[in-house]
Amino acid sequence: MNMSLKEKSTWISLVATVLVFGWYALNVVNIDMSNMPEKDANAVAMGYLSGAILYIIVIEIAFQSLISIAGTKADVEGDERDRMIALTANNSGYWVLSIGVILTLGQLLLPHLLGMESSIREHFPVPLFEVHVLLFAFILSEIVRFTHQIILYRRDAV
Amino acid sequence: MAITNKVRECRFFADEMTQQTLAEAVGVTRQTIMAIEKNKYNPSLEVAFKIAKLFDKPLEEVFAYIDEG
Repeated sequence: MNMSLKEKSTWISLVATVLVFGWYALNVVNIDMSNMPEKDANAVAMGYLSGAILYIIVIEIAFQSLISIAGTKADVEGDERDRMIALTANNSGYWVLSIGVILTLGQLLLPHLLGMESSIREHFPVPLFEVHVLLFAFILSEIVRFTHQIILYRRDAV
Repeated sequence: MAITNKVRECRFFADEMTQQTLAEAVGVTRQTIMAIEKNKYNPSLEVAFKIAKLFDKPLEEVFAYIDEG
């Protein structure tokens, strides 16, 4: 497959994000909050988050360094097409992140504005609920951004 | 696409210059040259001028705008 260094780098980021944060999401969703105090559940979730952040940093540094060794300085920096693709894809990611921020704000403001609690929390009992809505929106926006970037690279490479 | 080009033809008449050589000469990646030749990407004016200058041709001889309206 004919891929530029930037496209390879995007593939690595996409796979690493899906695997590491997929693992994190599964672990957090499976924390049984009915059997432990909220404080303990929060601590367990933060433990998983620290692990996920550490994994993503190590994986990104290792694999991005590996592919950069094979490329020239120009390949590593990218060119105008790489920048245009990145900007277009950033736009898609921005919309997903914005929706996540609006959802989080709604979740936080609902009790104050309408005097009612959101029922979403009851259906998805995860520790630090608002933090996770925001975090998952960020992760989803990154996945959308990387996927859109790859689609744009593949369309041009046909 | 409204903008077409004769970059492939220019490379052929320049002793079959490779895409990599052209890419390095104008400061883009080989994949970008491929996308330009397939009319899937319109380069910036700067890169278009650099390509034309490299083949010693005026810009309009390498790139052409087709009015589709």
